Amino acid sequence: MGALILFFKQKIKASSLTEVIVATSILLLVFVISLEILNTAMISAVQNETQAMETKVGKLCYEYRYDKIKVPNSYLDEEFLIEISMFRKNECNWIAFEIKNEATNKRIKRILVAHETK
Amino acid sequence: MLKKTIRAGALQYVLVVAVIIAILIFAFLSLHFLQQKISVKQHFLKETIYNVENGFDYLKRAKIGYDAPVQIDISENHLEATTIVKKHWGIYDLAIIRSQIKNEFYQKAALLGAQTNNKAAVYLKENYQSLVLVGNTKITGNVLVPKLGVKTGNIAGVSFYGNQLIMGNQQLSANTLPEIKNIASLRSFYDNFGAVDFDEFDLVYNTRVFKSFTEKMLVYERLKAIVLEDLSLSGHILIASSTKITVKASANLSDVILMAPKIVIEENTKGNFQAIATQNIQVQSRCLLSYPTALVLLEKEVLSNHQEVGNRQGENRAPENQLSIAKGSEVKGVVVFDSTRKETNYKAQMSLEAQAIVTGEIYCAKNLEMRGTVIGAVITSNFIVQQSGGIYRNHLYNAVINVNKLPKQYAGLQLENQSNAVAKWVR
Repeated sequence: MGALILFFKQKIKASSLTEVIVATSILLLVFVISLEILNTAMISAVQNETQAMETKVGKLCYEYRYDKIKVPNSYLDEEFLIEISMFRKNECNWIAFEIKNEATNKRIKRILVAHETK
Repeated sequence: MLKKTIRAGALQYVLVVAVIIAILIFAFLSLHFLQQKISVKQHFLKETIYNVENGFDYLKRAKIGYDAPVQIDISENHLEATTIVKKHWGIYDLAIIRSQIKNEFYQKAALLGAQTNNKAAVYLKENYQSLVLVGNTKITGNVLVPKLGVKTGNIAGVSFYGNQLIMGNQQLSANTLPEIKNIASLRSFYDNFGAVDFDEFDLVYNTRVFKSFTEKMLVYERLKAIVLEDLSLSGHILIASSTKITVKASANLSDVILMAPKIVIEENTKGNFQAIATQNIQVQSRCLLSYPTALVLLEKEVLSNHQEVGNRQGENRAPENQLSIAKGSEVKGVVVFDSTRKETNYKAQMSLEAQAIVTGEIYCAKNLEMRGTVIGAVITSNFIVQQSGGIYRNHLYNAVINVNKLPKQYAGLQLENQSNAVAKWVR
């Protein structure tokens, strides 16, 4: 730590114009690259964020379990396009809940075993 | 010009700042990467949990063979591997579902029983006699009875005190009892449990043994009588004796199977287990056997021949095979007396004393003497009452049967359906 303080306290002679230009360019370059990296990381984090969709699909599954929604069904809920469909697999009926985020184009799907027909 | 050196005082600062920014960016990216990795792991784990839950729902609908692992695709994730294994565990079934996505896995085991929506309170086989109600007998729910129907009667001056015979609908029963789907496999398990892969263990004083249902079965087998006291046994454990098993109140049993010709459950015993016998099961007073308990008496043909010989000779008479539940005891689960014997007599093969409560199902292939309470269903060939020196066939004396109070989540005997619902989650 002491060495670092000494480094900053030492006197530096005035720089030439060329040196200042080179230093500024390097600094700018470093800033631009770091901003770009941060930006990419943040965008990917936001785009891959599916928490709201997970919550939505969890709610739909709960509603289906207690007979609160009709199947098949398709509707737009704010920015989510919701599709609920029934299909047959492994000798059993299944319900697929698919949600697409219109803004990010991200899509998630969850399936449940269908109720017995009453 | 080329030889001229450029002083680099400001460049030193630039480099220091650049290195600091690089370190910060690296730290941030590492954190971001770690966070994403954890979130993917958590997502996979959540998905395996959904798959296992879905697997149990799938088990309700689909028919799955026993003992062979079945692999199914439940989610849309192609990395997923979900395996269902269904086995017999006494009168119930055992299901183990395991789901794996990459390194994440989750598994759950449960005892399964059959769930039926419209259970009848009483199923009395067509025995060409009417069902006679005496004393404070009260039947709530639909009944299936012989063609001659239900009527009131009188035993030693006591008549029927109720104001309605049956609080439900009456239908005709068939002249056979409904078949328990897994009774044959239970009989073969009783005779030949050694065919299953198992480990042996020893019972010592104050022992505590737990065995997971996902592991191999633990067996303690002896030719002589076994007394279970001051111990705790739980899980995938079988206790077998060639003569008799006595369960004392100090024994803490959970989910285990006891197999012996005679089983005695002493006063004040609490626990949850399956007792499978061939001659006698005696539940003494004030026991509390929690759900899903099973008391199963599988009467054997061999003994009936022996009895015939004994009857003919008038000596060495073999004691009557009997399943009895004494006063003040409560059994939650199934109570079964199954017999392949054709002949009948005037003795009670199963008896439920006054103030004894069964919450679940009673299945009796012979005579049932019932003076206690059943919250659930009774399926029997005959009712019998031994009172004031007389024997009354097809009579019910001070018995209470109420199927409407049985919780709708109850899963028990596999009569109409194969096992389709979880009776108990096990480890």
